Amino acid sequence: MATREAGKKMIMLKSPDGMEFEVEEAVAMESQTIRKMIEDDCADTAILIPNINSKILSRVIEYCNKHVPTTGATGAAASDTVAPAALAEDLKIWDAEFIKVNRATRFDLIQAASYLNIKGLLDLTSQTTIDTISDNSLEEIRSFLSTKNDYLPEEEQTIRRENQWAFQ
Amino acid sequence: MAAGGNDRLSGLSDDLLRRVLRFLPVREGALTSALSRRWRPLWLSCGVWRSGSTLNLVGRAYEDEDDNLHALYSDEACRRFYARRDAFVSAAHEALDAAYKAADADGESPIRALTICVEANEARKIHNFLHRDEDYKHHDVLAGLLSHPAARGVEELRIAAVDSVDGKPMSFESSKYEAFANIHGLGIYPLGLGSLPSETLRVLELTNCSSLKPPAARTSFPRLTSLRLRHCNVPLNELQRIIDAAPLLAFIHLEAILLELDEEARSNNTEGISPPPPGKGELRSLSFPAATALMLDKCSLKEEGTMEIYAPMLRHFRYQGVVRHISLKPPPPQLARAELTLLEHGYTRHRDPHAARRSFWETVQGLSHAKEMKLRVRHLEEIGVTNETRKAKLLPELRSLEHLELVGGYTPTGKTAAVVIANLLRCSPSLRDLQIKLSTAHEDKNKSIYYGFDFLKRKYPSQFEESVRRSKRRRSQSMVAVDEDGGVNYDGVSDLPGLRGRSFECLRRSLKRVGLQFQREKTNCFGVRLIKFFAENAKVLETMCVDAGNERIHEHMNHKIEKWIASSSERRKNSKDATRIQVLPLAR
Repeated sequence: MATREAGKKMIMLKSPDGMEFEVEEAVAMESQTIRKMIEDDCADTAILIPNINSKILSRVIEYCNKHVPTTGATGAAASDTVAPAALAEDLKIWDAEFIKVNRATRFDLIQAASYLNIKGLLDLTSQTTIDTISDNSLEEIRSFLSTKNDYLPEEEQTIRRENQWAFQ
Repeated sequence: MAAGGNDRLSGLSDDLLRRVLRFLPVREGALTSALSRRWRPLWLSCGVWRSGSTLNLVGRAYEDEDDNLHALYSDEACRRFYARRDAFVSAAHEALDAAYKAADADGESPIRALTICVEANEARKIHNFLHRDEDYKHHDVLAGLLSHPAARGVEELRIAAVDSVDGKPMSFESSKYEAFANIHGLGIYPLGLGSLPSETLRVLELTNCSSLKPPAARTSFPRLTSLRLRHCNVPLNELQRIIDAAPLLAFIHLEAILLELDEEARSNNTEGISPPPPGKGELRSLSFPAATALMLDKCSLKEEGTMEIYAPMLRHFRYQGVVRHISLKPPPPQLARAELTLLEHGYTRHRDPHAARRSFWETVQGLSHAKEMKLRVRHLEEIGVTNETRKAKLLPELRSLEHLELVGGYTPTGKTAAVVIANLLRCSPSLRDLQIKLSTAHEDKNKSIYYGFDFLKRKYPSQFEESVRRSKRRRSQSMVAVDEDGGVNYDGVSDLPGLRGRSFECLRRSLKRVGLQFQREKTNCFGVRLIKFFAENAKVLETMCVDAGNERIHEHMNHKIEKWIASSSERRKNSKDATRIQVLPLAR
């Protein structure tokens, strides 16, 4: 990551596979987990993010860069002149592009968003996950989720009967 | 979470899955419950679920825990809010329809147990969810659900307006004070009891409801046996009307109910509820003719005067609240277990400690037939009676009492703790089992009792080792009068002023088991002196369980106790088994 202009406090994030990411403090603080570390003075110059590999961490940083309020990567000049609604629309489109990833990456992002406590990213990944299963039938959902059906046949029959309204 | 790892949603933790499932529309939620066992409980906690004749309707009136009330004022958020509500209501009605049809088709029973729970992070949202439309017109969701033909024969009904999310405790649940007026979330949901299927109800549980007025005097609950009200606003006279309408009502649990407004609350109250001020010594009463279990937890009542309770069938009684005179009259003859927990006052004002002590013991008089009793006080000082005339007047006779547990704080330098124990021993001639759990007054109760021990072990490892070594040596020697290097000397343990020279009937005849839990601070501390007292004076004692915040104390103490017993000459004469008292660590 390139060093940004002077005057902005930078934070070093390290992934367990040894990569280092230098980000503005404001960007890093999109994560409530990191914000707490910084505010509690637990953060040295470098913060090790356990469990999140460099590929996922770079995507997370990309998301935070985009979503950091006003002074972020949207461009400093734009924030004053562009109407908030247009900005929000722009973000929505950007999000939709951002989340076009394979399933494994998306689940890694869910876990990363949960660990780092980034609400926007958690909502985005959750909603996308739910959207992809909403139109499918039960069997398709089951195979999608690779869930083992551990009900006995008669048990499943009962459940299906009692919740018939949902299966129609 | 390895790179390119698990691509299965079911690989996520339950908490994370529940978070993801929030975005699931109600219908798909019910679908996922048919996927596997693991998904079922997840779904049960959010959505619409029927199993046999049980129907659970759980509505979420919030998008996520961070959104605030302003969300309701933006058009877009408002539209989403009511869309979510309407989806919940139509799913609930579909489930009820399906149950009704199934009952028609193959004689299956319609809904017998119905739970309707609406959750939100703010009370106001629940109110709007249940009562409003987008254009702010009145809309009664619950009345609509309850009047469905499939719900007419409901026997168990649970309605809850839950102002906390993801199963976190509501504010009243975690509060250590009694309920007070205007508390957050109290009686969010105004419910007319007339709209309930009263003829068939056996079990009724309401959380955060208010205005439980039956619309007509004729409403009755002929089959109701169990009533549980939590954090509701039910004035005394209305509660009495509900009880009178339910002749079989056996189990009553009232938690954080606003039964009466205290003077303080009345003067602070801005909503214009103003019953007449109470007279001093005013007597109020409640009558529970069929009750076998009555639990009054953290309910708001006037402090002055007497609350008389008529409950002749009572077997279990529990009271949790500030000290006040609750008079069970006549004392229920079949009372098996009674629990009194004295709480702190929610607001400060001057209170007469003598009056409080009197109220406490007068309340205990109503429990005179109890076989088992648990008393939990903040400080033992609150209840100790020293004056002989007062003792004769106040201390009741608890003829049937066999098991007694006393929990409370005490001041190590004071004498009152011993006085309280003497008071209780005097009251209970048939006591077989006495458990005393003492904490030093004002100590931090949240800290585990292991804390100090672990702390010392960590901080002063050498001293800790030394202590263990010493204790081993002490065990190997027969008796050490004075430990030369300043160690423990139990022979210097003095008698307790409040207990010295006392003889109690239960000590002579019945007391077989004593449990003591205390923080051992120094050799001559109260707990150790209590051990000595019981070892010397309880003539038929078989077991003593000790927990002094130090796992080894029972080993330290064993032979000391033997010596104390041996020195009691009377004991030696009467029984050769006398030295056989077992000293065990108290199960925590």
